[in-house]
Amino acid sequence: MVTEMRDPTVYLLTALSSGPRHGYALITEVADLSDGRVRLRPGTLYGALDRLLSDGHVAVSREEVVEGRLRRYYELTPDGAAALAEQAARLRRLAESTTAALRLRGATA
Amino acid sequence: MTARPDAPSADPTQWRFRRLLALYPAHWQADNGDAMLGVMLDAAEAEGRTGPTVREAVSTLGHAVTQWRSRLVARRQDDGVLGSFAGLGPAAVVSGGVLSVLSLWFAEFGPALTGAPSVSGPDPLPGVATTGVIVFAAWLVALVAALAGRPGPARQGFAVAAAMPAVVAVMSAVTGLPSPRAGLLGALTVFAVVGAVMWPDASRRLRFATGAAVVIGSTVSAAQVVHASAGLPFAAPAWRFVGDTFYSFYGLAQLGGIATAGTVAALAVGLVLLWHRPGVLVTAVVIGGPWLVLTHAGIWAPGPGVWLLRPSDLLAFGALLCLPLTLGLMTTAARLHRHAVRR
Repeated sequence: MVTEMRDPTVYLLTALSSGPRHGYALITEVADLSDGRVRLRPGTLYGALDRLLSDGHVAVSREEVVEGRLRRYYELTPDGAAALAEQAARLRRLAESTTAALRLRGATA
Repeated sequence: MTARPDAPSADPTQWRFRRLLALYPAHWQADNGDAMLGVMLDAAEAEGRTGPTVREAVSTLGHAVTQWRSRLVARRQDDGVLGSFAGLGPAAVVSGGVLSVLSLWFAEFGPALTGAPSVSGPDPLPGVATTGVIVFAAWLVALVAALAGRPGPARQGFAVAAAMPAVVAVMSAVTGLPSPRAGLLGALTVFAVVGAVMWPDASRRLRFATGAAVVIGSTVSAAQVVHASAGLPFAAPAWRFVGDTFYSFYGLAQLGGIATAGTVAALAVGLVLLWHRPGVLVTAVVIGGPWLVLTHAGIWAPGPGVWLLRPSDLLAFGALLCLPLTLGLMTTAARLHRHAVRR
């Protein structure tokens, strides 16, 4: 049984799948991936990152100071990649069954 | 390490965001504060803002609350026994401190200041009413050491304060000097024993809270005493506080009794959680149970002072011996348990 993840979490893992990102980069990338529908605030971002860190789906890869600001980079772990793959498969099955139901409806209408 | 949200002299924008970080527990701020501040500043810069939006503040507040909640849950999961004992030392110190301050002022110095001797017999020292002044002074010395952040001297001071009531009782019995009532001495013994064993190496915040509680408790109770004295016909002049009268008619007997019962009850709850030490539990209940019933059964008695055991009652002196013994067993069990958990 695949545990259902919320959309912001899936987007976060998706953003990290292409490489390590720092906090603000994650916010902008999630906004891009969702066409602006999901706009993470710092509190929401860190809430999601806390859960992903404790589940072992992401890890801190490095830190650097840019213009006096600390940037902490996060990366996807193998467990996180597997969890994201499960979510992708779940969403694909959902999309296929929904599409099939709609086709059936169109055929009988 | 995240800096504290000081005055906005250097960078007002950064200061506005740092104020939000103050919502978090200190350990979370230390671990993540600077990284989160960087995210907030990046976002603000990109959007041309110089402070947090309402949504940002609400989101941060929500996350901070979850951090506080998970911290509490983690503590409870770590060790329920330690949690139940955490507030015991400060609670006992506040209770004993308030009782000592009030007793010193109203029962010891009050009669001398007003020229209305309250207790028959010679003054143990010029200007004080009973030998209890020794106990109260020992308590205040220990309290000052505790609030000054000196846990070692504070525990030694509480140990001395715990021994003083018995010394005072014997001294008064031998010399005939007036002494405070056994109930008050017993209560202060309880608090001092608990303080000696359970007063922690307290943070500045906890010491400030403890000191503030002593000041507030003393002020409120003193106001209650003065207010009550004005309406009682037998209290003329108003500050004529006879030893028994002071404690019996002004509600402090009840205060001390409830505080004693509350402290012991909290200790008992903690002890019950030590289910894997049945020997200590049974011993404590056998020794302490009858004493608690005898000394507190009359707390709801209709007449003032009825519930306090008379100094002439031998049981009271036995109780002074039994109670520290009981509490010693309980608190030793708690400390052994804490040691085992840490190891």
